[in-house]
Amino acid sequence: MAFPSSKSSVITHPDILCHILQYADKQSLSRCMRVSWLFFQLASPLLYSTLSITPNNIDSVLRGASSGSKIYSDCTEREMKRDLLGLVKNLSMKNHEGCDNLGCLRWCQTNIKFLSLNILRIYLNEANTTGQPYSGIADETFQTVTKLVITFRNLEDLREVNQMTLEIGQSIEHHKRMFNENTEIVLIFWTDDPTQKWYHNANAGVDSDPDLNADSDSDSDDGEGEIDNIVQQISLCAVADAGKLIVCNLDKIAMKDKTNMETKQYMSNRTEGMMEDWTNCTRAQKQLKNRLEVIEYMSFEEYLTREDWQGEFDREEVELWFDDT
Amino acid sequence: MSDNKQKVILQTSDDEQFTVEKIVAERSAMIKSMMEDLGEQEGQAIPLPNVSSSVLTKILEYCDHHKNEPLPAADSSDADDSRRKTSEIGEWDARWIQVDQEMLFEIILAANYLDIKPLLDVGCKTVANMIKGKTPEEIRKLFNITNDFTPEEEEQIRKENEWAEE
Repeated sequence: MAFPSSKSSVITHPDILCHILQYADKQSLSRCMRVSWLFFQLASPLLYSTLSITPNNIDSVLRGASSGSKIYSDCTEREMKRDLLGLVKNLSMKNHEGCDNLGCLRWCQTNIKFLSLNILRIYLNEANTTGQPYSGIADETFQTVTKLVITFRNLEDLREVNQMTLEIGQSIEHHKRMFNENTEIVLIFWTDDPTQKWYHNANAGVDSDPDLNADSDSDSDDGEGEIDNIVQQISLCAVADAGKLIVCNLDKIAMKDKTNMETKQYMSNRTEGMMEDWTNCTRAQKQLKNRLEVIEYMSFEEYLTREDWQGEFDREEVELWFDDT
Repeated sequence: MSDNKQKVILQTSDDEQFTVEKIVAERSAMIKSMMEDLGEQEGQAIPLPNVSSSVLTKILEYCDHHKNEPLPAADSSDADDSRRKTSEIGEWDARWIQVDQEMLFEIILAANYLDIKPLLDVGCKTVANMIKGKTPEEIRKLFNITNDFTPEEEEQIRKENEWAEE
């Protein structure tokens, strides 16, 4: 083991500098990247390991991604920004104006590949129009993903996402190929705070668009059509043979004349039924048992008490949920 | 009789000898494994050619203060870089590590060499806190680092990573 003898070079000992940078915040890391090439090399994997793309930072995050390859003074030729984005392991995408997550035009044009992506978290709150399920994320993006967290904001989106998924290719088969076997999928029916119900009453359409209501199936008026969307989504993910499928907050979804628990029970029964139907069509009865076994229902609070959610959500985002637990 | 009262002799780079309680010396995973290798050979000094007596004095203060805490798991991997680590330092540790920069670096080096993980953490957190809020130029000055970027490169890196500063 060679240790630096000169005092000033202690900090440039790669093992030690790496250790120091583990405790640096984002701003420090970003500034350290400009100190020297050694600092750049050690700080960038730390800064880029977790990336959260929001409406406010998308342009800034993408800056430089299209500038092409260059020769740098450390004698390397590379596409710097693309290489940096290739380091992202944990990506969280929020919708931004006029965009649908990775299906957004700005992403498509830059054609960015996340080569090391491990955890992908997407937030669906606007209907997507890109012709890809899950907001147009290119299928190959899923290849390295071991965990996919999908957060749903409202039921309208869900219907469109389901439809998209079912329309593409041989639907279920396609859906299945998108994920690696044993990917962990987490579906979160998000409410803004833990005491709030996600879906109070199907007839409550006070703030919903009357045109949309006119379009929707007449039987959705009692909420069952919407409930079906949820059931369909859970089933779609289940037949993709996920290693684990966690469904959060079903107990926050209340149907008319049913308690939360009854609603949850009703939906899990419906899910089983729907999967049985699909399974019979595709002659995959053997898998059915497995597929049902991997589904776990829990509240979002419960999910947050687990060790492994960390990094998926910003602390500020879930503070409310923490306060109440 | 009691294992805790056993002593061990440590010899520094400047040939000073320190007689230390075993439980204090064992904070260093490196010394601990050397003691195990040496077995029962009483009275034999353990040489520490990379540590000076002034630094060892300081470090023994730390080890003595923490001697009754559980040792970190031998294999506790800190390789998980996807989790942001807190840079908070305990009250006693923070006071103890208020030293000049040269001593701070000596402590970090010695903690690394002696394999005292919690101490290495304290040292590295302290440096991370020194970096906080500083510009790249200030960081270079602080640690005497040469800027090997061209001005264009530095500007490009600034622009492309601005998002992290917002």
